[in-house]
Amino acid sequence: MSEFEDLQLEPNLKSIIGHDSLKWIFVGGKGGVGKTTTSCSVSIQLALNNPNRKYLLISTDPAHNLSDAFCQKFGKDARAVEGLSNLSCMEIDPNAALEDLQNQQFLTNSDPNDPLKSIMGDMTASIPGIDEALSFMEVLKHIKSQSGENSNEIKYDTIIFDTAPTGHTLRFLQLPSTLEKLLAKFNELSGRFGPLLGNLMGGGANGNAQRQDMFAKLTEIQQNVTEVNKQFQDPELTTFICVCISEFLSLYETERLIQELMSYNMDVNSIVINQLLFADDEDECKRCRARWLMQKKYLTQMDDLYEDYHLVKMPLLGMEIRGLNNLTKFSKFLVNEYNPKKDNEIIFSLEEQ
Amino acid sequence: MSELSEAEKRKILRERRAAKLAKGGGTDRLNKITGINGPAFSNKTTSFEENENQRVEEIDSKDDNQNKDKVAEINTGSVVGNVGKDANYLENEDDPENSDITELGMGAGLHQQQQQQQQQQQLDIDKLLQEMFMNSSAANHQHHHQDNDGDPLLNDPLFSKFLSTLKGDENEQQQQQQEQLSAEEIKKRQALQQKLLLNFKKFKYRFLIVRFLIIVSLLFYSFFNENLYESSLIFNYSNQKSNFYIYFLTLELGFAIFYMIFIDNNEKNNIDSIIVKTLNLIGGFIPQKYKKLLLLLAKYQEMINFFLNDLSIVILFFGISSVLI
Repeated sequence: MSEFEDLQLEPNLKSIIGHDSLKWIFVGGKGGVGKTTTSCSVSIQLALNNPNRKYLLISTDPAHNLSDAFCQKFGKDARAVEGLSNLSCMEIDPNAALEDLQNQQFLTNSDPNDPLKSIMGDMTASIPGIDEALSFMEVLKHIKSQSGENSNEIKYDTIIFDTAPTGHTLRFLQLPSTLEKLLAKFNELSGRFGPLLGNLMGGGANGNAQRQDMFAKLTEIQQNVTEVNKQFQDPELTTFICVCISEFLSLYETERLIQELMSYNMDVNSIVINQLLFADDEDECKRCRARWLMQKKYLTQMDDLYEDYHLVKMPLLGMEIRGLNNLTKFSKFLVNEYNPKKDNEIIFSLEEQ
Repeated sequence: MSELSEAEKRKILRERRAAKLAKGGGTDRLNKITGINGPAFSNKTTSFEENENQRVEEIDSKDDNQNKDKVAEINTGSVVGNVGKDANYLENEDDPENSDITELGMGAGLHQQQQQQQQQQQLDIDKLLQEMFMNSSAANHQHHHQDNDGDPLLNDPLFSKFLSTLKGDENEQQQQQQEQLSAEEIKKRQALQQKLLLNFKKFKYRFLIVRFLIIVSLLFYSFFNENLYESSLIFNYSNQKSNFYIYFLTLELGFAIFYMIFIDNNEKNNIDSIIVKTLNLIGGFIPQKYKKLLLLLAKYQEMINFFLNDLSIVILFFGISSVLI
């Protein structure tokens, strides 16, 4: 027992920055807590500490912020950050990608009475997580397409996701078991009601072909999701960084998020707490002192609840953190713990953008 | 203590996190945050003055120097200090009793939760399929729509048949499950069934006796009051007028209605019908239209028997009376 108690967790992200095998890093949280700033900071630190490796930061939030954060325009295609050549950024809207996919299917199969199309279409509305899965597949396709000639491989060593605030982005991780049972049921029904299903899909050989096509599509989705699942549930390949602030609602939502992620068997070992005031007793601002007391109360709870996590405490600066230089300055505290006595000059020393 | 590799440390920490979540349960942790389990985690915001007083009390009740030193530390621990750890917020919350991680496995409690979720998913698969087929006619990409009322597909006979077949299979399975009841319940059911059958037979015999008596009374009445000794006399309007046939038919109608009501209320007891037994044997060869007719016939076959029975009594009576007189 004593050897386990000796495991002290440092309040920084060194374990992630130095973890070479990590392939997927998700940065998420709810409620305007600084996900984008944190994901940018994590990416910058990764890129700076491992100059020989390539990193890709992707925003899947429909309200993209990466361009604002870096003060540089990014789009659906990956583009290197100016001043940091081994870090690229991409902004992709998964819903738009899914619509593109559906439109493509419409173009290739324009029969409005095609029951297969309607069944496939309604399947996206019926199975929980299927939309997210299909969106994610499209995102992966985009990533792979950046590789150019060999579009089956991903040319980046690590991909960082700035996830959308809904939190359900990853619920497709529950899909494989659902799809497996669904496919088994389809096979059973096909065996018992094959002619009936064939009639539903047009009858005769055409109906059988369409039925097989539907099963093939389902199987393909299942295989893709299973493969993704396998990687996302491997803690040596994937981790999730929770971002929060020191307030009741954020703490509550963070706990719920962690529980949800652990139900997906996804590794969560680090929590970044943003916007901390670190006001001391001599601070003239009464409001700051009051808020700092409130923040300390929740920080205490977090220290107790998350003693097995890396709790990284980040300060609230005097202005917004935009541009590579400012983000780089801020990102240092993810690796070297912020000391309010020694490092407080950064609060008002950011460059204007 | 042997030096642990980074991977081993990560693994140990993962298992510890999972074990705590399993032991405490997600709900307990959330309850702690919302303050249900103790005032220390109350989410009420207090005024600045109350916070100041609390802070002073906390500092007075603890080692001031120790806390100040902890706050002032640069490189070790959190700069916020370990005030929280000194406080007695979590009196009942300890590390897992068994911290031998090898015995715990990854997320034992979570695994159970996952199993439950999977079972729920398994139960929902059929519902999911029904929803999918119900909604497959509509080009609707909404999430989680549950309201299927008014869906034209439900009125489609083919889909209705498909769904009813699905449901029928389920009903058959349920019946099979119900049949696997304990022996006592089976015996009880059999006894009840036999009792019901016995009651039905008793009623039938009493009914027959009453009918017989009434018909015979009618015959004797007509014989003595109307001098009716031949059946042909009933129809000889020129010589005699007899209301026998009116009375007879009225009585038969009354008996039939009464018996029909009784049959409808005790449908399950009509199991001795030869027609039903025959239909069970050769029902597959008979067209559905005629099958329904035959089933109806089977249901009221005894009424016909009773009428024929009464008629034969009347014929017998007239036969005997015409010979003797």
